[in-house]
Formats: sequence, structure tokens, C-alpha cells
Amino acid sequence: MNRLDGPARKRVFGDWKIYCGVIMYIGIVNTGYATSFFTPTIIRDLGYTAQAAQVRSIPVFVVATVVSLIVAWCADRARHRFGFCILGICIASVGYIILLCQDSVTVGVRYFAIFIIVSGGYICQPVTLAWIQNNMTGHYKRSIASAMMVGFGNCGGIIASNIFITTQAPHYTVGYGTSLGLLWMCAAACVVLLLGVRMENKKRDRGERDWRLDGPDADNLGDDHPHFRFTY
Amino acid sequence: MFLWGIATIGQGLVQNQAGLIAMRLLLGLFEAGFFPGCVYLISMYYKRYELQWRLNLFFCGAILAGAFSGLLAYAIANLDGLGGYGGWRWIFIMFVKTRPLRQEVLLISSTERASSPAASPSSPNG
Repeated sequence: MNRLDGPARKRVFGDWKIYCGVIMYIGIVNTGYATSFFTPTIIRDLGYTAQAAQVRSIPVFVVATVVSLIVAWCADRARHRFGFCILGICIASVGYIILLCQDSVTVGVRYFAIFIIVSGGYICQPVTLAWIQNNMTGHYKRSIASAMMVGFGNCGGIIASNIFITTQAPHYTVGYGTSLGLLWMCAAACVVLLLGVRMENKKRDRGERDWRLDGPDADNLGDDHPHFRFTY
Repeated sequence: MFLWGIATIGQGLVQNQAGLIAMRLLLGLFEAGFFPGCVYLISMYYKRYELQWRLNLFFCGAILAGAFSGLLAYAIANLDGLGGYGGWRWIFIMFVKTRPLRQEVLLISSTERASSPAASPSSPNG
């Protein structure tokens, strides 16, 4: 896909995988933004204010960075993507569930929940990006996929900034509930992508896509090329 | 990225709400291409199963920024009142100072495009 003409444009914008990626990204980006809304509330409950509170948010991100790097290394080594997305979503879900039941746990446990929500979110988010990029070929398709995924996906940030209603603090039932739901919307999109690309790979193995080679744009198929295999 | 910096400084200098919204819009306009552009560039450099590690190294910059921006924002807010500007204005103005560094990194990498392995059309699974 190194030439952007009519048929190529149709192939790029008609590709369901990109839209799947957008849904995945909306779901997981929401968690990335949401943390900045509820973290101050929880740290205030711990009894810190101003500078001391800012310092308490640093270890959260340091842990998330380390965990995210470990998972990235494992994902490349295992040559696999889907399982790592779901792993991150499950870990972050536990955090949200703790925060939804926050009346029955101590404030220390709520602080711990921030760690696993942020870590879980940053396990999944880069993996979704790399997964979609792995399944796109050609300059144009990759750049458009990346722009659409990040561009539309960041609408998750709009959701995050509207669901943490100040009057609901510190329970934020709507906020935590919606974030948990969006996480699993991301998981559902991951499953759709997994099943979709597996089915497509099998079709190509059976030669059911070879007819594309006879088309007029056979030299510009990108990942629609019958010899291309998707990763998951 | 230069215009992005100007828009951020503009946010620190605005006098009313309309000005702030205008600067915010310009900031979004100039900033929007940065992240997807980086993801695209990194994905063209590396092979399929080299990408995740490299992408995460880049991504960790964003995560660690979350760790330090809060503290930096607090420290810079101590400039409150200096030169007649409120602390929140200084935050926007000072954050631009770190940007030229990132700009240089991007300039270097764009000269390497020709040697990128994923750019060669002969590898369909690249």
C-alpha cells in the first residue's frame, strides 16, 4: 500500500480492523485519562495534601512503566498480542471493582487499586497500538490506521472527563462503572479482532483470497495480499 | 511542533476565557499529529516482533511524564506572582522549554528513513 489511489483508499477506509482498533483504543484510553480524576481524591483520603500528595502519585507511574516494559518484552518474545491485552484489562478491572466496593476496604487498599488500574491500563494500551500496526502494511495504510486509532480513540478522554461527577466523590459510581464497562468494550473488540484475523488467515491458507492477485491493483494490496498473515 | 510551543505559551498569556479556548484549540490542532506520527514512524523502523518493545520504550515517556508533570507543576507553581504572572501561567510557559530537545530527536530520525527495514516492499510480513 505504497500508492494512494482510489482503490487503495477504499481498501484503507473499508478495513474493519482499523475500526476495531478505534473501539479498542477508546475503551483503554479512558482508563489512562480517568486516573487523573480519581487519584487526587484517593490520595487526599490518605491524608496528604499539596506537594506530599503529588509525591504519592509518582510511584504509581513508575510501577506502571516497569510493568509495561516487562509485558512488552514478553509480548515480543512470545510473538503474541491478544493475551497481553486481556491480561491488562483483567488487572485493571480488579482495581475498578475494588474502588466500586470501596466502603468495605481501607484507604490503603484504595491506593493499591490505583497501582493496578494504571498498570493494567498501560499494559494493554501500547499492545493494542502495536497489534494494529503489526496488521497493517504500507506507508499510507499504517499512517492512516495510526492517525484514526489515536485520533478517534482519544475521544475516550472526553468520556473520562465527563463521568467523574464532583458531587459523587469519593464514590464516583458512574465514573468507575463506566470505566469498567469501557474496559470490557475494549476486550470485546480484542476478541472480535482475534477471531476475525484468525478466520482471515485460515481463508488465505485455503487460497480463498488468491483471486485478489488477478485484480487491477494486485501490486498495491497491502495487508489484503493473500500471502500476508495476520498476527494475534 | 514549533507552533505547538507557541500555542502553549499563548495559553499562559491569555487574558480571558475566549482567548484560552482559542489557544487550546490551536494547541490541539498542532499537537494532534505528533503521537500517531511517532507510532507510525516507529512501526516502519522495526520488524513485526521487535515493535512492541520499541513502542513501549517510547510509550514509557508518556507514562513517566504522568509521574513528573504533577511534581513539576507544583514546583513551577511556586513561581506564582513572579513577573506579575500567576503560577498557572508559568506552568504553560515553562513546559515549552523542554520541547526543542524532542524536536531534535525527531529531526535526526527522519534522516534515517532510507535505511528503514520495514520500508522495503519485498517483505510482506515486515
